[in-house]
Amino acid sequence: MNNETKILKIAGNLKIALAGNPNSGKTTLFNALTGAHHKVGNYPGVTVEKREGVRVRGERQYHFIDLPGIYSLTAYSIDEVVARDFILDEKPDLIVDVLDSTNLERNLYLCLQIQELGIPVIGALNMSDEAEAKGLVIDEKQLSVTLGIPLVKTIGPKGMGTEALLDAIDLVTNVGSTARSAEEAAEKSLLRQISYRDEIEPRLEQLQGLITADASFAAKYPARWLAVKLLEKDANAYQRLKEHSQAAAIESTAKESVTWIEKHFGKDAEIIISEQRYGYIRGAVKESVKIVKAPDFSMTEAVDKVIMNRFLSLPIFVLVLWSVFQLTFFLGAYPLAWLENFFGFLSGVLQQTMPDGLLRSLLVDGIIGGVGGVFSFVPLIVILFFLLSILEDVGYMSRAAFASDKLLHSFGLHGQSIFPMMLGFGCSVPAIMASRTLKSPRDRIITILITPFMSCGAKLPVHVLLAAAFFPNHAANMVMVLYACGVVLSLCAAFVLKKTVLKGDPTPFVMELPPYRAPTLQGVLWHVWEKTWHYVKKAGTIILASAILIWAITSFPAYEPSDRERADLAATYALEHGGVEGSEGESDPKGLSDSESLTDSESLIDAWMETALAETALEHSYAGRLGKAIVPVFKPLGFDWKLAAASVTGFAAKEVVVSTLGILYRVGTEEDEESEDLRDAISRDPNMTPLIAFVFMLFTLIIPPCFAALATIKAEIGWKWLGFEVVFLLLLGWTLCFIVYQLGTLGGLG
Amino acid sequence: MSPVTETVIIIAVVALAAAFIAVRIVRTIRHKRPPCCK
Repeated sequence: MNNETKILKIAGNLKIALAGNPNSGKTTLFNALTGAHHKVGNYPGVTVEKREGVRVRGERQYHFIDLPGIYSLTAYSIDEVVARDFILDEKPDLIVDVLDSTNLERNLYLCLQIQELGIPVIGALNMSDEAEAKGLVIDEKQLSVTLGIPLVKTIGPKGMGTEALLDAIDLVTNVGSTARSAEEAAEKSLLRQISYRDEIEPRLEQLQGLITADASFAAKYPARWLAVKLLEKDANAYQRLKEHSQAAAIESTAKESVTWIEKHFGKDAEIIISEQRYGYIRGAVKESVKIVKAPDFSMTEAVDKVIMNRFLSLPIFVLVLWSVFQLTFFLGAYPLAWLENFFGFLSGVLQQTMPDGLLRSLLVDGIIGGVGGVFSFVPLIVILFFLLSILEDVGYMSRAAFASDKLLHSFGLHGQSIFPMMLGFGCSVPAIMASRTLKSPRDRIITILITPFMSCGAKLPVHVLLAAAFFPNHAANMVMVLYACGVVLSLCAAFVLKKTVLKGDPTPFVMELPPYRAPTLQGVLWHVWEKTWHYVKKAGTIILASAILIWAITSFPAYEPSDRERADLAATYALEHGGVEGSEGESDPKGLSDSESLTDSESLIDAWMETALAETALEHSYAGRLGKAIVPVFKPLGFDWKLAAASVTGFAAKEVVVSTLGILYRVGTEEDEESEDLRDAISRDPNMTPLIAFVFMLFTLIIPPCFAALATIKAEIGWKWLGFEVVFLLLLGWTLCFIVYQLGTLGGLG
Repeated sequence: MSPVTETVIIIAVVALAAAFIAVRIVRTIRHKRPPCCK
């Protein structure tokens, strides 16, 4: 591409990468620039994939790409590889390096490396309000001159500085300025680039000379950047060098130079180069940043003294989570009851206005019974994620991760694993993808395999339904026990995997603790909306479709009892209840006449008969046959065929378990009971006990996650590990539930 | 509503639901992982 066409392209639509250190606020700035609403978090590693968004200003389109956080262009983990490869291979027109103003020295390290690439770069001095609060006064003009790049102060959450940033982009890319083109900007930037020591520079020049001998290769990779990377012993740089026509000669020269440098300085060549860079940065920062006052009181430090206390941190974490669950149940109970009443009312209206038939059954039993039950839990989802979002945005979740780090290590897990695990409380799919931040493939596989143990938002309705039905006075505590079971099981599973199929020690990990920040209402509400919308969308699509199918297999083939079957049922009733005469002999509390009492008894018999016939029809349905066919596998766990069928349908989505139970308990009842909610219906089932309810919740927690999560596991680590995971979770779930049920029964809990 | 109309509606709704789930399953299986992660 010649200069003319390049400038023409730049004058039109721009491809701008947002790069920077983890937790420097790239996604927040990206959202402010493009109006997108991608997830942000007060901890490093939230973004693991590149995301794109467009901003239009005037006639110009700014195509922004939000990259995962990186500390340098030497990448280790998959998210870092995504960022590095994009910068090197996609060649953006410009890079905005998002810098955490409170920690400039560390953040500028990446900036220097980007400068060496020769791509125009602008520094966004993000979180400049926090830097000021810390007493740091940044002279951005001075720093800009020292570094040779334009700098703009920004505050991501408030969207401040975004227009100035776009102005700077226009200036660098030659719009609104007659003086500079992108090439000039790059050249100017190169002039300011760091000079390494006198002993190293000649070797860099020698390598640069050899690299530029292959013109097409040199056009692809800046010679100086590659020369520095070769001296840093960057494996990826050596890989890329293979494309050079004289790769072998350059590699040998580079290795000789590395040996000489290491002998001369008595240190690793990579350390020598990074020391040079940091020395340069320290000088630039010293010139441009002044500390006007040392902060008298650091709120973060003061709070951390208590929260991060080695003895108190874990009990505080447990207490915080316990409070979250208690508050969720306390506040959620009211809207939950309103929604249940609403769906009960809706069913009643349809029962009265529609003629009896299949269509009414589909609407009342299938759609309202199946989807209504799932919708009723929306308030609990909203409250739970509102509270968790506040904890996350404040920075507490990172502290919780830090507090758990030692515990995780003792189970052979990597400290970084805590973030995917905590994301798993929301949804397994992003949680599995978040494991890309782990550098060691072994640690990554283990983290992916144990993430499904976390009780995701979809499992919450199952837990809430059964906990409220069978443990009404301790429902919140029971749900917390289930969450704790998930965490304990994940740790034990990690320990076993580390000792067997994935042997090895965890790689060292230094956790970065973000400062406490006041959460913004907009940010928290967005998190809540994201989770709630995801849940509602699922209820309106996959769960609705599943409910219709489940209704179909519970309603067909149609069952018409013969006269003989009716007679047999009447005889059974007479045997169980002492016949119609039996009821006549009882004292009538309502003081009804004999004829009224007789009519009452007949209607009782009719109701009993209808319920029994509905139950028989359900057992004759495809769902009943399927449930009865698989029930021998589940019988040792105490499950009847309804629970067995609900366990299987849960593979579509865990909410479908509630949906299936809703349909099964509705189809199996008669009209008089339509208004009762699912909770009452299940708690009155003679086949159900608190022990069976607990075992069923445990089974739902452990068995393989939903289809979407399984597909993500396959995409991340392949079919082999997916197969392993499914078999592992099925075996573990069945065995553990068998032990709990049998021990519980022996202990008289059954 | 005649029983035939009712049956046709039921068949259509159930078939739509089945097709929706089938498409979702196929799309999920065919979902490729990004080039970076191969």
